[in-house]
Amino acid sequence: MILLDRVTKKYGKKGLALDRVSLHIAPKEFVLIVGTSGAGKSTLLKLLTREEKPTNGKIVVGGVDYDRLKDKEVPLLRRKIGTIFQDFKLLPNRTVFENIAFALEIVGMTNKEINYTVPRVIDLVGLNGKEKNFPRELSGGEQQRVAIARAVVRQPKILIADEPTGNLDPKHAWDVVSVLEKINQHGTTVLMTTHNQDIVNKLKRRVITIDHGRVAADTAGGNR
Amino acid sequence: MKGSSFKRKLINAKRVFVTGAHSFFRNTWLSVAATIVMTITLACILVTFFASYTLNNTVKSFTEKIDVSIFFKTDATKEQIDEVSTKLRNDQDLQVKEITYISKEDARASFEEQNKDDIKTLQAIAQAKDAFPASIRVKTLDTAKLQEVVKITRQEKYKEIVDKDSYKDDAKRTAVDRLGNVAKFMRNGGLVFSVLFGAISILVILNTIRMTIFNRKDEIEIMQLIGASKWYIRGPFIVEAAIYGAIAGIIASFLFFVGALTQVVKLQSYVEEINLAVTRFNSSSWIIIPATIAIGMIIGAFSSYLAIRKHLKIKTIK
Repeated sequence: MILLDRVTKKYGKKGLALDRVSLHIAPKEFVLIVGTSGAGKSTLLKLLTREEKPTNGKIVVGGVDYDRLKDKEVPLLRRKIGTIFQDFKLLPNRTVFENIAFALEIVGMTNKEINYTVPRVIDLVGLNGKEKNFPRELSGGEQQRVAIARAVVRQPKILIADEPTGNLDPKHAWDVVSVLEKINQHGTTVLMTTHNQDIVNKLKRRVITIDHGRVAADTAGGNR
Repeated sequence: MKGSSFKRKLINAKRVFVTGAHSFFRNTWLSVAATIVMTITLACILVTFFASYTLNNTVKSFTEKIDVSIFFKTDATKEQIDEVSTKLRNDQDLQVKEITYISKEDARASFEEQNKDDIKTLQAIAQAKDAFPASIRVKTLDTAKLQEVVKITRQEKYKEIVDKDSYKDDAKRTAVDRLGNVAKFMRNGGLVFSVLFGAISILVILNTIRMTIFNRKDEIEIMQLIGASKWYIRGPFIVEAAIYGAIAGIIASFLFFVGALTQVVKLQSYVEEINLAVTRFNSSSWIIIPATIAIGMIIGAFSSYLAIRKHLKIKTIK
């Protein structure tokens, strides 16, 4: 599903963010990426969503070889991947419903399909009754759940979550994690970065530790 | 398959319009600020257009009054006069606009008409058989060329038929020439000013739209990250800017026709051409108003298209 072969990312001459990282993530896996701040976790995810290009190495996601990917094909790639951002990245002038519906609008779904799908996802993330609220009217946890709903509403094969619990209190953090687990159970490959040791320990999933841009450990079943 | 693709395009187009209209109302302050700037700019364009039209007409009617009359001797035949007319008309350098032949009879009739109440003069004139010579009135595109016209008619070979002309080589003439030059300068200057002002107006609108889009660059980035196509992101911004332009066009037209033009009429202008221009503009309002709205929409949409281009480049730093 996701393949990275000796991927290096340099910023300028000295800033080595990733150093020959090789990874293989199978379909339906739930993978946690851990590491200290600046270790290269976010860079890794940005390479997968094609926000950035690698300096060296090969990336293949869902059968798409990034070396052969043209700029105009990037939107199509991003539609196949659901992304949850640490800072939510919600559209400020759109309601909860509209933010989630936006992900479906861009693939040309009809209003009927949207009106059928969005309420179900809102229900999944537990935001019933908040459909007409604007992001500024929601708490951090609620905003994060909108971001999750938007990422999963298209039922992507891959879900990338960059510190989805980073801005949340423990209770909300666990709400978010359980939503991600539920999505994973439906067959979506989940790739999530986190700082939260408690989540790592309790989830008991594959953990990839990044340190100074390198894969320092890759263990199955939690507990670093 | 084709049908479903068309249906999808139709749905997208509808969404682009609806989202653009929504954004206009949801970004109230940005919309109001951009619309005000566009209104002022469009109103200024209308006023400049009006001023330039009036100036042009004034200059035109002024220069149209400048001509030279060549008076022929009483024994000059119609054929000889026609020969002079043809010679002048065929000289490309003179840029002759119009030559009017006035026969002796026409001249007399015209004089009698003008002095119909002065019986003594009319009686005196009735005695003088050859008091009114035949003449031609020459107008050139460039008033400076009138001097060239009389240079020809004053040539030795025409001495036998040409008696005199109305061209004065004195201070009065210089004043007329100078006025002609001023008129020419004003016409060219007016054109340059209009073009320059038009360009500045477009720049002002472009920058206003650029600022509104800069304010929302994060939104553009988010849409890109979610996988929206360039047109799906760009479309609503273009629609929104076109709405600014349309509303600005309506308000600017209202300010111009109801505000400015009615005030000009109230001032009871001394220059006849201003009143004529007001009448002309009022009677053409059916085309000027839609044109102003269309210009506002086009400038707005185009500015938005240009302004958003920069933010739509996919940031793939290698």
